[in-house]
Amino acid sequence: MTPPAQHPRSSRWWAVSDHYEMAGRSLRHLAAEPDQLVTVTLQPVLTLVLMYFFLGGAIQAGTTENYLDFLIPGVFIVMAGFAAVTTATSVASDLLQGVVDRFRTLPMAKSAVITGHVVADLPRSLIGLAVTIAVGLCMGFRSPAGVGAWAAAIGIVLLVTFTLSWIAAVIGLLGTSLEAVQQVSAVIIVPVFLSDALVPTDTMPAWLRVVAANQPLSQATDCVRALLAGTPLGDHLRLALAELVGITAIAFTASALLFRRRTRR
Amino acid sequence: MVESAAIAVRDLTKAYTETAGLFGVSLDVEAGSVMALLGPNGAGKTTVVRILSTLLRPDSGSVSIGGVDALARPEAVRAVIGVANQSAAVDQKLTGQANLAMFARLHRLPRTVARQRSAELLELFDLTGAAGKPVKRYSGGMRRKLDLAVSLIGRPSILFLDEPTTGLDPASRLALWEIIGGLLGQGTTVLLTTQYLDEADALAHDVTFIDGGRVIARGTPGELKSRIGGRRVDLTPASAALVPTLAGRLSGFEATTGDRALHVSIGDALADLRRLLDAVDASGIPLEDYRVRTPTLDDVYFHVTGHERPAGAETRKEDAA
Repeated sequence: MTPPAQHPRSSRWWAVSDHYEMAGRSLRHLAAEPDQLVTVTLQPVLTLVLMYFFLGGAIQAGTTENYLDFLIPGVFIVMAGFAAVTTATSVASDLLQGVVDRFRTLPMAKSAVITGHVVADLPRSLIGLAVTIAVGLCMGFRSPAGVGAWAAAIGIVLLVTFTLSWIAAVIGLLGTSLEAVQQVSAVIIVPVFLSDALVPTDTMPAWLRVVAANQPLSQATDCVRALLAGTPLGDHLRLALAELVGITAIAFTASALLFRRRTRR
Repeated sequence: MVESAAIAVRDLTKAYTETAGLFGVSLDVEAGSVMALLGPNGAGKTTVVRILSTLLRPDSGSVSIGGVDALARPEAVRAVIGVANQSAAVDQKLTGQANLAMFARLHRLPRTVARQRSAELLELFDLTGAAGKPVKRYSGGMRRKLDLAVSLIGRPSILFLDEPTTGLDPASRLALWEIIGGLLGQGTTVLLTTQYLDEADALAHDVTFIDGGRVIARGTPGELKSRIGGRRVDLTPASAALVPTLAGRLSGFEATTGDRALHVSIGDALADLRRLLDAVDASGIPLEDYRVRTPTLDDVYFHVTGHERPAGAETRKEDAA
């Protein structure tokens, strides 16, 4: 019998390699179907243009800041939401089209099947971020922030993508058909619009303002705003990190349990 | 347990309902041999393959794959097996080449080996020309071939093939038979299920028939055929409508009706054949064709399962040959 020509590396090294391969696979899907990029480029840019040119004048009246500077960080969060949606359908199609059975018969780390898609949303998100920033600059957006503050802002946008992506994975794992998952995954975007990402919360009714201004996506938006405007962060960073990490932990655990249930032997 | 068994299965049960599932399946596959698992649809063939390939846990029983307890240590088993299930389990969005490269890495092969092995398998399965095309643009047969290539990427010592040639054209089927022959030369153990009994006859050292989740017969193809014994005479009357009439006139013989011919079982003695031919003469029904042959696995199949020979059964066999 031919022994399998396994590489003499530690199993931990190979587990990392499995995640790398699976993330690479998800990015190769992006290369094979570049229309996936539409959601992370065209959608945020459309949001930016529509909000600024159509509603900007009206919204400007309710705030003292420059609306474009207010809007750009919010559009980053919108983009993060759109970047995460792909994971729901990718996870569902893996489960529904039989390829998951192949993965299950391999000596690989099974967690990489889901994590690969989630991790691949981060580079996807960076592409969207680059396009949004470029369009923002063309429209007159300027920031006094230094490299460190930009890096922190981008880090927060990626963390938001990561968190929403795990929620998308849960939706994908719950789905019984690809069509259903496609429909349901749109709900990931809803909290983005129920935040202060695109509009100031000052004019909202009090009960809604309390929710909208304090939910994690608002905290994250406020953080990015403060970092890019060079204003004090206050509690926003601490709260944003705590809330996003907490939600990620819950969604991660839920997806691990669901994956185990979906692939029960 | 048999000393040289690469696969040893004892008393496997998996109850889906009172009647569906497995109810005490045992089998041994000797290292370096091919075992064909045969039986009607719903007999439990796929369930057996899914349990042996670590996709499914049985309710009870034991499974040893390459000497490893598959229920206790599925990860160790996954390192030595290759699996091709009925649904072509490959990534539709990636190219054939990218699929092989990815699965090679997930089999934990070094990059250089992964590249070399992918190229070899693309060549072996005649997919080199389509290597750079996304799999969703492959034909069904090409997808099937890629799936089989992927199942070999980790150089498995034990290979599970669930209906490997379903959907392949005759040339590809023969090519796969040759590939399986080559693997055996390297000491690979193969367990396959198939709808084509001539395929089992050509490839398998041992055959296990299952029906209703139970083993109903086992042995080498030769043993099984000689166990039911005798000769088969296929009598083809001038018109298909005459098959039942002929059957009626030969009521003294054991026979099954096909849609074009009557299949009569007789003993091995020349006198048995003479008796039959006399009876055919006496019936006055003109024959268009006749054939005397030894039993095939098809005959064994209908004998052991007790299923009626369905109309068109022999045409399917003919297609497959």
